[in-house]
Amino acid sequence: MKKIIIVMMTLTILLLAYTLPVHASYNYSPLMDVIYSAEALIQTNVIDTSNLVDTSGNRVSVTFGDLVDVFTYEDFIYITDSTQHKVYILDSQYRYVGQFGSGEGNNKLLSPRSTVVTKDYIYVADHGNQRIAVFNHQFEWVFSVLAPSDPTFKQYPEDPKGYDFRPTKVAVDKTGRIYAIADQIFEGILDFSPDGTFSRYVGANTVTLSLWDAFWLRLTSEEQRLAQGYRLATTFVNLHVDQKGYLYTVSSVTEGAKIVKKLNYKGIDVLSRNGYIPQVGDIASMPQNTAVPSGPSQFVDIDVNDFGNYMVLDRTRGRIFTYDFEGNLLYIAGQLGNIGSSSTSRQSLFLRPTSLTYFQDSVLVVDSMNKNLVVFQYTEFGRLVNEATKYYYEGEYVLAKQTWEQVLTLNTNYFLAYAGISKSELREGNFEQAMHYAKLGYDDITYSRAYQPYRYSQLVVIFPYIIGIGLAGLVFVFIKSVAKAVSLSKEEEDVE
Amino acid sequence: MLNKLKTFIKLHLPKIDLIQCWKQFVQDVFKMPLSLMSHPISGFDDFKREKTFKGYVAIFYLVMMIFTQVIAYNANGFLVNKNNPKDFNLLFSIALVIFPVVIAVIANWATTALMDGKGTMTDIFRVITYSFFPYVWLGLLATIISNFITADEVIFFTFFQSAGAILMVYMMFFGLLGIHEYGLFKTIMMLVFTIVAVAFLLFIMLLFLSLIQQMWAFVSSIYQEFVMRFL
Repeated sequence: MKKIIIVMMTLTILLLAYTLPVHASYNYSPLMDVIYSAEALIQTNVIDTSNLVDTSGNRVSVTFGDLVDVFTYEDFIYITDSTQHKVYILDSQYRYVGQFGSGEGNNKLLSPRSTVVTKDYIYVADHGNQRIAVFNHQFEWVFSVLAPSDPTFKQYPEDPKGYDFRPTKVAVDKTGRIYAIADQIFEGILDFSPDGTFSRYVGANTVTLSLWDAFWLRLTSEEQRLAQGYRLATTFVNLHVDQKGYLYTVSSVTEGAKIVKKLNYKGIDVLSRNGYIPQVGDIASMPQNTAVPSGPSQFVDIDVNDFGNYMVLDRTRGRIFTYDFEGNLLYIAGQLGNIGSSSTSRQSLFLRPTSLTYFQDSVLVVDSMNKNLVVFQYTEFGRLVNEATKYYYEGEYVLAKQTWEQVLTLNTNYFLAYAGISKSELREGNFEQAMHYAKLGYDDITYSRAYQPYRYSQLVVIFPYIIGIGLAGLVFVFIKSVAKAVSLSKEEEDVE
Repeated sequence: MLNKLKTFIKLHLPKIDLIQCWKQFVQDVFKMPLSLMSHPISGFDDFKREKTFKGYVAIFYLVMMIFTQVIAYNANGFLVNKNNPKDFNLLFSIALVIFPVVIAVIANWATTALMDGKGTMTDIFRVITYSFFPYVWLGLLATIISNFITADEVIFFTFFQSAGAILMVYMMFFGLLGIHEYGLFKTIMMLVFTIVAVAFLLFIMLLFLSLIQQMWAFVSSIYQEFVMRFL
């Protein structure tokens, strides 16, 4: 009896152990195959209503609602809650520090969607109150950015033609210029001066027609076109301003439109797209028989770090895609799913991720359905990749090469590392090595640059032989023709 | 014993002159198509009347076409080769050459039979395979060149490849014109109708395939029914 129980217990334990999800991270090869990759980001901490404490360690009676945005400024984390109409502030140990948004009059927020903090002010996209509310660091209301005096918006409350000004996302650059995305607005990103007066629209997505659509549009009459409905420009979903004042935007997925953009002050897209694969998240179609949702990745948030790496958050499959400043896909992390006991699992599982941000050496993601803040930490592999891209960005090619070599010891499938090594080998003048690594890393440009001097050095060796053989051939032909001429003249003599 | 064998071989085996063979081969495989390409009108006239074309050359160029495609897939230089080596399939590569040729021959024969063409099916097959001549050799040259170029020089590779393709179409056009004894306008009409015929053939084949599939499903379900009920 005892034996049977023991056997049963071991079996149960074995079975349980077996059903634990084995999580393998993936990446894309330059040939667009899905390949295994080392894990770059792992979930280390989850902050939700149940484990939120204040600075002295006591439980806080705060219930998280729909968390829609997370922003970090210096050592503090600002989390926007759109159903509790509040903004929570956490410190770098993820302890509760304070909240604001529940005051009287102008201090009261109504379904805020986004928060941005600068040296002077805290800007909140106050969706329900139709304004961008600006607070100082004592959480007192300073001024509001109201609807622009543009005919697109309602100029007076009963205006039948315009739209309400409902800002969803806001971003502020170093000089205090306010950029905002609003509902129903297709003209572009709203650009306000630091004092809150509207100045212009910037960076509108253009409507693109395929050749086939354009052909049909030529054939249709005016009435038919009216019946077809409008072709509206792709809407922006989120935006972020980097240190140099470039606007990083993500748009909803539309055929032919660029989803991730980096806009300069004139609103022109200047994002580098030199990666193996386009910056659209998942490129392979998902297998139909798995639990993984299908369809294209839909980005909801973007954040940029100091050396030009940016990461985007995909709502469709709950994945974080990180790209470097040249547009290479560095690593993929995260997953949608429901595991129940997420606090014991190191598995990164989201239900509806809404926002992400870099914070010191970690990455923070908020989930509006799980109502939690998920903290990701870099693994050794992720840290090394970041370091290598940082060195490359700063022009430290030798250090970058050494770091890439360390990356390869952790993940031999990492094509970018081979390409990185080949770039620095080229700089050092080791052309043959550079060619070898460029081939491994599918780096056409570096291969070509290394091949040109290599070919020249080979030619210098071979060319004398080619010339020699050519000359010998010429001499042979000459002698042969002379001999022929001599024999011909002899024949002629014989005839005579 | 050994002497007997020697005399037997001398008597009964035909004497093979290797040098003569090689000369004939060069004449058939290189010089003939080259002269066809440079003098298409008179060349393809002789092609039919004086039987200057050889069956083995047609097969040779069909095989060479497959060979060129396979080599191009696998040995093109790094800068121009974006193929995934994992996706290579030899049988598929062979089918990708043989199948279009067979379809084109049948479609062209069917069209020209209605349009008073003078060419037989063999003639059409030989014209099509002979016209692979520039594509095969320029394609192989392009493959060799692609291994010794930088990114700025990829234009040479594309030049040789497209020159081969254009010359192939040129030879095919004049070849079909010659063997069917058509004028220029009628040849163009014939090509248009051939394309229509190809589309028609593919449609019929698809229809046939799905019909066979349904037939098979019907028969197998009857068999299943029978097995389940009575056995």
